[in-house]
Amino acid sequence: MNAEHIACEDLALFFNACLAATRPAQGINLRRQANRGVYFLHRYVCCNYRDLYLRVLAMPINDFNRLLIVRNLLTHARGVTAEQRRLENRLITQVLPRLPANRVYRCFVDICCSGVNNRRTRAVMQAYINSRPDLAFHAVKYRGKLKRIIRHIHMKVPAEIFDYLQRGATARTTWQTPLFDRVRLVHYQKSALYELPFAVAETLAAKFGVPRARLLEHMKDRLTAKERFRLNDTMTREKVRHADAMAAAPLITLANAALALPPTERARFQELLEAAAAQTAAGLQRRYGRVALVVDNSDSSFRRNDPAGRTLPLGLALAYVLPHCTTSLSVFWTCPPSTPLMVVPRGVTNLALPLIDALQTQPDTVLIVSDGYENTMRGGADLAVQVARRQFGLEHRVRVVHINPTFNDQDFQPLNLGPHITTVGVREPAFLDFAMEVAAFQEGLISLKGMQRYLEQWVAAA
Amino acid sequence: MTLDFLAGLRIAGRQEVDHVTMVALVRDQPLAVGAMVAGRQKEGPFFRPHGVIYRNDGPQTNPLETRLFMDPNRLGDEIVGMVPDHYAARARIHQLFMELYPFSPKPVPFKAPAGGGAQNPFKRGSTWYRDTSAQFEIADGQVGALYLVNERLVGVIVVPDPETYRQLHPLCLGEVLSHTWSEFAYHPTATPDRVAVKAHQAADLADLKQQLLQEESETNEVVALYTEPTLGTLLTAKGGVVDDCSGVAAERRLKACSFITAPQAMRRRFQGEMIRTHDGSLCYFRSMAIDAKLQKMAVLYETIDAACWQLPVLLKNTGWTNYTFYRRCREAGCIYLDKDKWLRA
Repeated sequence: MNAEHIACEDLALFFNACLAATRPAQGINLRRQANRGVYFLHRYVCCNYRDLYLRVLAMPINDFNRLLIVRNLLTHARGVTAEQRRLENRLITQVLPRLPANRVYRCFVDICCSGVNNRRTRAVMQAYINSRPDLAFHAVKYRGKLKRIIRHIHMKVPAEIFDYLQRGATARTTWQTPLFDRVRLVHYQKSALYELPFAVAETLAAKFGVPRARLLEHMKDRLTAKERFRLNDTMTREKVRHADAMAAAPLITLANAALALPPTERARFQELLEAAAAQTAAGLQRRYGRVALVVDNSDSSFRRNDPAGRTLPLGLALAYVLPHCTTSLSVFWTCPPSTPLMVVPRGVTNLALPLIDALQTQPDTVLIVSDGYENTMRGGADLAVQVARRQFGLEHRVRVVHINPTFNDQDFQPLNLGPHITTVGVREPAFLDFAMEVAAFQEGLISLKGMQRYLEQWVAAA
Repeated sequence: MTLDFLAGLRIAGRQEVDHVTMVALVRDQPLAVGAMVAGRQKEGPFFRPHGVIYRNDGPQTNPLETRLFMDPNRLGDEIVGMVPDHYAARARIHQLFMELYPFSPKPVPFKAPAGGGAQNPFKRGSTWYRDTSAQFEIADGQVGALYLVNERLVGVIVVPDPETYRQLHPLCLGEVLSHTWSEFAYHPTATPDRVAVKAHQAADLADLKQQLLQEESETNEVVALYTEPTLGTLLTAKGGVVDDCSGVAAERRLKACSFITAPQAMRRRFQGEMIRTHDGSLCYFRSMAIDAKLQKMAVLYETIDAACWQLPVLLKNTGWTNYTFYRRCREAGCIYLDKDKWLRA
């Protein structure tokens, strides 16, 4: 095993983690983070393959991993050449504004708690905070985090904002910034509540006993996009007139929302899913030939309030996206529904039988969407691929890729189905292109240099 | 009493995770029309296992009353299946309770499996229970399950309908998984079975499919689960203590009983409860293996029960003195039997 082979294996692990891993559900303190697989993996790749590590920032990956890369680049910057530093700075400053502010602030706070306070980190944080067009709004909404950051980097901010952050809304009797004045007044008049950020108002409304319907009625126009998706059903339930926010929702959100309803109430999602899928497919550049999609819709594939139970939403989303990217698509389920939209999580995971059915259609590519736990006929999927490869011979080499949205922290990678099936971690249909590239890299179809070129293309386009 | 409870049920696959096996049970036919399938809306499991009902916050003699009851929202006037509230029933239910929540001042000894990998579930913040139970999936139409740890039966549950089972599933698994760790020290090696078919044995995909289906049907035979003794033998054997209250319930529509079964071929004892409809079909069956630590207690209970819970008869039958009885109670961990004067003088 030579150095290049080891590098390929390390990077394949890392790419998979970037596509699948998310922040652990339970909060984890900084001292324990080193013991967690994904944090260790980031640190390891940052130390050994820094030039590739920073370029992954330009790829379509999870926000959590993107910010972890930013954090590691800022924290461990010793011995970096000036040219590399310039590239890092460019990518970091490009990436940060595109990410949700709450996540960016949390990343900054983690850096502060680690005791990192170098010049570049201070400059990056200052640039980000100064570029906020609505800093007063952020001061109210993210007061704790912003206060911690500003104190840590000794940043100079306007006197009012500094006063508000340090001493609260009651520090002055009058504020020039109207929002701060509203925060001060909210303790005396309830109407001031409706001009605050919703996240803040929601808490205060509960404290002051404002009914939820009234709060939503007043604040429906001030919600952020994600708050609209989250509160869409609540507003319907509370009989608040509003536009259906789901029309603008991303595909995976729609799939999740559809699956959370009983099959009989999902009809309105058909058009929404089709439109969102067309939009997602437009962002994908690769085109596939004949594809068979095997989706695990077993009992564990979709569970509410369980971040691991994302298999079925991803499978449903791919069932809508792939017709736009393939010449022909056939979908196989472990427990077949009448139509994809009517799918329900049911039964045990038996991937072998639907996979055999899929392979018998002789497609170019088979995509298996599953969490990797075969409850019955364990090992049957891998066996089916072996038999198919022997049956079809060299003239028709079918490519089988297992798409697993659940990252296994113990093994640093998603759970696989066997040695003959390539496993990649994907949580969003929009990441499919990069995931298939990673799959080819894992199979050895793309060399390390080829992968470097691919990353360079993305960096240049960023 | 014959517990031929498997009539009308069939096995729908088995799942193995680490050392735990869950064998899904489904009904051959839907339950006959009767009290259990009245068309009202369900509002939760209407049979509640004892472990849920009883809490450990009252005096020891007080919370031992038990009843198997149905959801009053569903069949308000048909609450039947009362286990008679006498001393023997109390003691047995207390035993079940102690099995679920055994008290020990020492921490449970943990020995990691040989291959490593599994977490210590007793460690703070461990997600082992959650992660492992999430891997077991409910089969379509599943109404019950057999739970095996290290290929040994530790529990059986059968409920009237799939929805009830779905709600009880995590609870039952939690019970079984907590049982698992007490057995790890004895059986540290267990790997989940993979399919026995090899790639070179299959001519093509169609042949492979046929072989896999055949293997699955063979694996799922009832007898294959327990060859020595068979599963049928295990649970149809008449136990040492059987308490049938069918006389109480016969005038209603259900028959209920609680039992301890101690098959002769097994060292283990099983404690359970069951309810049947008037036409003999099984509505509810629950049986859990008594923990090895509590076997001693079970033997004492059986001895006491044989003496009709009368102290003079017990002393006469066994030749014990009062002090011997006290010592036996203390060794079995049920000192209250002597202190609280549970036995009739």
